Amino acid sequence: MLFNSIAFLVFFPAVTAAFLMIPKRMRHLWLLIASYYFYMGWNPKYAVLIAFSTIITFISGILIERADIKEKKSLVVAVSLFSNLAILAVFKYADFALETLDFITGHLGVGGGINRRLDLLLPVGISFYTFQALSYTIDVYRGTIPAEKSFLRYALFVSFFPQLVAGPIERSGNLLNQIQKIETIRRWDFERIRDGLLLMFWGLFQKLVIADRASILVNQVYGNCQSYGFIELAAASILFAFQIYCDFGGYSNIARGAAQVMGFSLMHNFRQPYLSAGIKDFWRRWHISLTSWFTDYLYIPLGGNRKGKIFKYFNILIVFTVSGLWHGASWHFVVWGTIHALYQIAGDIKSGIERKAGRNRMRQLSFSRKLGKVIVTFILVDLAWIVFAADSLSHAYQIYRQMFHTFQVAGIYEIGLDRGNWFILNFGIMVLMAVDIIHEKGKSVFLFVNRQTIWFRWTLYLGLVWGVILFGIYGVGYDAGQFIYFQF
Amino acid sequence: MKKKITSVAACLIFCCFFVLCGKLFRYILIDDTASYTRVMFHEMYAQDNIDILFVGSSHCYRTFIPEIFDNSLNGKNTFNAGTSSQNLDGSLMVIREASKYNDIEHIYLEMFYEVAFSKYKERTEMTGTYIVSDYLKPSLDKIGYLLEASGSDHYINSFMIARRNWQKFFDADYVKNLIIKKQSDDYKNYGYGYITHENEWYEGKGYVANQEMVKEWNFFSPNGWNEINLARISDDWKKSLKDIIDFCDEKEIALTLISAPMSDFQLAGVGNYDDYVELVKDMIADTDVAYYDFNLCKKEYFPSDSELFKDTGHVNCYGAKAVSDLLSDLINGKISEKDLFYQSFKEKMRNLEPTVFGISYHDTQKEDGEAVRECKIVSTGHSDLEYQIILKPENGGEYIRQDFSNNNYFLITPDDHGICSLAFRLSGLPDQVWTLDISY
Repeated sequence: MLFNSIAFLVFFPAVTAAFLMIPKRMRHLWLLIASYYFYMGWNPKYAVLIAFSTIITFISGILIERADIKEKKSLVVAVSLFSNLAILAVFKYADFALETLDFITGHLGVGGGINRRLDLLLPVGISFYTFQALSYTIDVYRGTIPAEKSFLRYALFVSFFPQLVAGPIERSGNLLNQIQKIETIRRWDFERIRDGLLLMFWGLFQKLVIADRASILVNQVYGNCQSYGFIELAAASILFAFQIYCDFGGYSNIARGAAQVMGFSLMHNFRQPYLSAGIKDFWRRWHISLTSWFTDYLYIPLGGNRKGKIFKYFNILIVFTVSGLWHGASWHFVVWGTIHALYQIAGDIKSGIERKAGRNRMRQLSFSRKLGKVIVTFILVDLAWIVFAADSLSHAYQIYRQMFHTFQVAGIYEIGLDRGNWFILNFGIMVLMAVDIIHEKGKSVFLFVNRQTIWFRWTLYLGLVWGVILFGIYGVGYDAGQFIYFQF
Repeated sequence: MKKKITSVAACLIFCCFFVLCGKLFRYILIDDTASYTRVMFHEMYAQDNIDILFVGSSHCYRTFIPEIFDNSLNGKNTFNAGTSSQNLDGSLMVIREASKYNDIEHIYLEMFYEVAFSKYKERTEMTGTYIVSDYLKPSLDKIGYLLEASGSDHYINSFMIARRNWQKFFDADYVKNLIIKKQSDDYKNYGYGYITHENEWYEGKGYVANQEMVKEWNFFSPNGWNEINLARISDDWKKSLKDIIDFCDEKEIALTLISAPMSDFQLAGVGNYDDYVELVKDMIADTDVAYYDFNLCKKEYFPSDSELFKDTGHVNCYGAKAVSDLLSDLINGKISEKDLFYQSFKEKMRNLEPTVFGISYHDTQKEDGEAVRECKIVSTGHSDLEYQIILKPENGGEYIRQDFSNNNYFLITPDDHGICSLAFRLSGLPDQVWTLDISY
């Protein structure tokens, strides 16, 4: 079930109303049933995979807590990790591995290749819920949290529908803790519900008005890249940056808003990523739940920056390559991750040189220097997005080549968007960036809105709702865009 | 407690403003200034009581003249609630709505065969549905109708009317002109005088008169190409017909199915129109519902000729008067069903002199991708008819495409234009030849 579907428009109010009205002791069960129903809207059979992952990690948690010696704990963790990663490996990476093997054996002239594929349909959100379940097991192993004794509560933690299929990847310390206190959630909290709905509509605005509108142009230009030159491909690349931000950021906001309406608080997943003043800074702001997951459960266990520069860079390379692979079973995602690793390493070396030269502190407060850094970071991130957005490495190469070799210019209204759509898209991006700049200054737009007069606030709400209804890209005549991150 | 009341009040006020905004956007974006239906539904709601109601597609609102029935049926009030492309689910909705406000005695349901193929959840074209729904008062019935009338992709357009035309939001000239049109007294008072078609006007109580006449009774048209594929008639359509019958039964309203006349060209071209008639008759076999099909009218009562039709499918105002007079005579018992109608369309054709009505065509592609226009000579279907086809292209020349033979198919290319000089005769009577020139 998509957040931008009619089905969700019926599902969400019905589930929330029932959740707030039924006896409080029934809330876990109700949300669990609703979450599985939500997930089974895609493919009922794959609910078995979530159930399997839930059971394995739940039992692991209890066994780890009961184990008296470290070896036993380690063994249980290993079994849990192996089981969950095996699901990922089979459903997400098996065909990729087979293709790669075929490619290598074909080029080396060894054997005839395997030439077989599993052709399994990728279960929606598999990378998200397995990582969430794994973080729980590792946290219990580390003693950060106690094992959850209620299967119902734990199953809800893994399958909580607002963040089930595209995150944020929650930690047990946050979400499980709230689920344990589910009975304390007030039935009627007007401000909470209003602000949650506002966040949901802001997310829908990002997704339907900006992301899906940008995708029309991006698909047109990238899909026929040989017909376009620098201007169009650069425009498509810039718009893709906003498309993916508004697509994923929009989803996260809808998820957070939906959770908030029901009385839960999910973590922020994005903090003004395109105002980053460096690649390292970018990754502190982009897909925060995944970055922190990799930091806590991969980078630090690998040694982090504790074993010298060379190992640090090696660890960065591993983490970002794996992160690329997490995004998709294809080499262009791996290369995209590697590019970001190289950016980070280069940035770190540059910072080291600047530090030695003592230049850093002097220019830290300069607006123009900050602006320059933001622009350079955006360009670097955007150039890497091309690899991400392409269908394959060869497609990415084709886009780069066309971009830097051809300078023909098509009419601005001949690349998928007419005058009205251009206007709405530019207006939407300006609103988005204005909101991000206000947040960057440490002020909350939502708090700002809440402090205004009732007329101003409600006019704004009305404008937002009608803005989404009138100017969203959905319904007849449009391919109602799936959220890009569902494929991961 | 006070806070709760305030918040509930805020929500209610928000909902009111939300609806008001919807109305405002509809006003500035949706151009319904030329809609007959808007006027018709306003009139329908304003009736004291409707005794006799006609529902159906454009064939309905162009054929049955309420004034004639009002005059001939002793004080009964008749209303025609036909709308363009009205499907049977739309007809059911109109019947439900009309019966809420009126004590209806008799409903005439028009049965145009082309609406029988629509699978409601697979609809891609919603105009026929919106023409009905946009002007009905809000009700649960209306919500149910819209939910059942399409797949969920269409729901936003169904319920948020302004959304259908959001692109015009930035067209200042369009918005300005629309507001000016909607500010006219005629629009505000549900008049129709400000819309002037040369030959067409809204006459009142749902009837739309048109005085155009078919110029030549020798058609070259894509209509009538396809057979009526009974296997493709949708279950939705059948269910709607059953629902209408059940509804009328429950409300003790008499129901009569009725088909408005189309040109012989169209039905002879279709070829198996009788199969459709039989299907409808089978569906009402165990009910008290009657079926009058004016396509089966005998020539002496309703001659099929150009003076009575505006195009291949619809009668003009003269045809409408003729049909309405016949129907009121039938209702009053001045004429019997048996006298008025043939048993089948085939029987009607058999009783006509052998003749050709025109050429029906269909554009397609050959296997090699070349565009071709398949042409079919449409005639009374007498098996011993033979045709000679002479083509006279507009760029000059003349050649015989086919000498006398009973083959009635031939191919041209879509870009070919000129005169097709058709000669036909009955085999065995080589001296009695009729000719017909058809522009293609």
